[in-house]
Amino acid sequence: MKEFKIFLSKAAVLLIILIVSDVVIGFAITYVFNKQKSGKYFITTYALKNTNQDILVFGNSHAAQHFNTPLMAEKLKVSAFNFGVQGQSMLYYYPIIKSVLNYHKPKLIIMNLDCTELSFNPTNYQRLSIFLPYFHQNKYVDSSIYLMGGGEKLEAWSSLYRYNSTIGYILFNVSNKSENKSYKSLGFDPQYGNFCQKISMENENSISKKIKFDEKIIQSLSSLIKDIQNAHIPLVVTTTPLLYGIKQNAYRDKLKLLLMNSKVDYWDYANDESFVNKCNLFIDQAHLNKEGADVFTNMIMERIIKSNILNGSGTSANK
Amino acid sequence: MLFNSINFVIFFIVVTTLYFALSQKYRWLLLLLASCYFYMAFVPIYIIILGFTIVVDYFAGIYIENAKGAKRKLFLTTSLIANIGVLCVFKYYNFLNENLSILLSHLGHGNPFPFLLILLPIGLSFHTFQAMSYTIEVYRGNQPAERNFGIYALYVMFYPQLVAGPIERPQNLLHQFYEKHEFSSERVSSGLKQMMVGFLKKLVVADRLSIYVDTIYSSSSSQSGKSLLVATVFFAIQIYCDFSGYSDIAIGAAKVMGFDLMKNFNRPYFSLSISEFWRRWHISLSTWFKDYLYFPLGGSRVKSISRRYFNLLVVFLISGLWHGANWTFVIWGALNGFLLIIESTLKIPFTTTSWWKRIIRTFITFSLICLTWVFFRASTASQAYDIVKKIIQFKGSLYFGNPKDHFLYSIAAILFLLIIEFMREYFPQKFKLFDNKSGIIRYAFYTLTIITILLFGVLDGGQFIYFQF
Repeated sequence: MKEFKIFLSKAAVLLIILIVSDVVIGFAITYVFNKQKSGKYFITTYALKNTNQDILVFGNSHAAQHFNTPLMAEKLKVSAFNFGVQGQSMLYYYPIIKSVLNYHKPKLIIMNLDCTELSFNPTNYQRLSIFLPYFHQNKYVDSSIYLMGGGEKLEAWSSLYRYNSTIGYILFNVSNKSENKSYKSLGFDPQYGNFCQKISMENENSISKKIKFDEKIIQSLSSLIKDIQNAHIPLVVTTTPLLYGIKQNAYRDKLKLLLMNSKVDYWDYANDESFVNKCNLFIDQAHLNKEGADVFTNMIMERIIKSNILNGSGTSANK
Repeated sequence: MLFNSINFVIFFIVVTTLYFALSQKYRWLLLLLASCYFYMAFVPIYIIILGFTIVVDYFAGIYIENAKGAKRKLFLTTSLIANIGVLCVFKYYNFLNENLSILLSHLGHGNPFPFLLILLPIGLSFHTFQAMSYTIEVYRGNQPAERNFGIYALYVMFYPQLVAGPIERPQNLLHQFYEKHEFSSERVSSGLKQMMVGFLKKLVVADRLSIYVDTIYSSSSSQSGKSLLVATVFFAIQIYCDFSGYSDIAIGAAKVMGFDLMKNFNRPYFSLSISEFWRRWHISLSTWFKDYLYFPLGGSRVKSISRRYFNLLVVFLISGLWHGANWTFVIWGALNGFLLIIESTLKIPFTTTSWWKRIIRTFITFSLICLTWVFFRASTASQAYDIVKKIIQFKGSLYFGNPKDHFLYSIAAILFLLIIEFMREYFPQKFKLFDNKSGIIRYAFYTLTIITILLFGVLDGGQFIYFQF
């Protein structure tokens, strides 16, 4: 019993030191975290707290690298911001857009979705770890963290765990060395170079034969559409160009049907002839370079102007 | 149930608390039930296979002890056939069948044997070898047959070392289940410290390096020689930290409850030769092969030198097959065997006093071991060959990963490991961190270790590499 008491007292001392360290170091990292001037966390923090632009673009890297928001702001004479974050899915856009709608009413929301957006992919859930630094700051974010399953609900109580594997990234984005995905670039993440010299090893756009929809994603998309329409904000869903295009598939069909039933405009450029097989416009098989992004953004802007969305008419959603 | 999961942490705390709360009479039963639960957390049905070998070996042990003359050998052979038979069916059947198909198709025939759609039971090779060491030792008269079926089952199933060793011997482990282990603060702390080191190796080093290694090896055909070289070195460190990390957690968990398991690793990458490497790497398996295969074949005491080399090669070929049913593992084993033969032919001395010779020999040994790891990690022999070719050509630019900061974490993790291992190898009495006399330094390092795991560990519950064996 005496031995057990000795052990317990030692363990208690260590536990107290650990809790204090967790709080103090966590506090210091949070301070530095909020000083970031670029990168995915800057974009996410900005969306959750400060955005006030007229045109908001949401999506993954296809949004971040393809929508030249500075060009849009200049040509359309409105403010715009690109909230695209690499590797993310509807599970990320949902809490972000929900949070934005709580405090801001933009003139237009562009939601860029992949052709396979509705498919089930466990990685989409793992990537929700991007929200860990925001634990207990926002109810939508907390619900997303819980979607990760496992022990996240418990582990997220540790401030240190919330910043797991992020220190290097945070320090880089505090140093202001990157202009991409920053306030200056309005979230745009331009890529340089082209795909003409590179050999495609396998078709990145090939779809697995086994079809598995993610009901959570379908529900989130439907819910977001409803919220945006109820707030009377014009919504356009887009799909960006692919070097080799994409064949009809069950995910794409379902997405089209869902958007049609919800009366949402869907601007699908996946097989657009202006881009298919134009390797000089791409950095890889699914991402445009800066030149391609400019061409694409100009096409989107023309369509925005033509459909007169920014003046409160034109899209199906507002009819 | 993986060691690096929250479930295991809860399981370990509950089982250890109950273990010390129960009287000695019931402790083995608790450990047996806990071990069954631990094993069944992977694929429940496979406990039947484990149960089959346990029953066979339990009775084989008793029959061997009671029998005389040729019957003893008969019972031992029966036990060995049962154990190796299970291994063959679950681990090697599809491999043999696949090779038979290739052979028959060359001869213009179809393969009449079907392929089995089965998953390899986790840790099968480990507990099969542990079970075989029991019947062999009973046969040799070094170990009395265990009469308590539950205790024998626990010997095979003891959860800390059930799925990836260390592969224990009955003389070391069985008697410990009868001994009463009082709660000792010092012993529990020592066990927990070892577990902490294991978690650090696995989560901060091994799983971090695996991100880069997996990326490069899964697309090796489009990767540069430089990237493949870095990935191979990373893999060498990864597999060491993964497996020795597992062993540290296993040995530490057992130590907390008062059990002593054998040491499995002894800083192998500081070896001056391949033979020294094999005395420091996966010690429980190396000594198993030495005691139960190499020595019975005649070992190094055979008259002809070619017979000695043959013995070495046989041991390493079987060791390769033990690791996996794939030609890559066979080649890996053969390469190690050949390197040992070359070393023996060149009569390289065991040690040297010159520091620069030590550095050069350590570097050469590490490089040769890295070369063999290419075959261990690659999916096919031709992939391994292409990787080695590209590494030698050393062309192209180095891929730093995406995001790049993960590459920096990897380098930092390796440097950190190198410093710690270097200090422990060459200055074992100096720079004591976890065992420092000063309580402040000790607690500072406990805290620093846990903070490092929380901030830099890969906490997604990655599988241990050796589980597949």
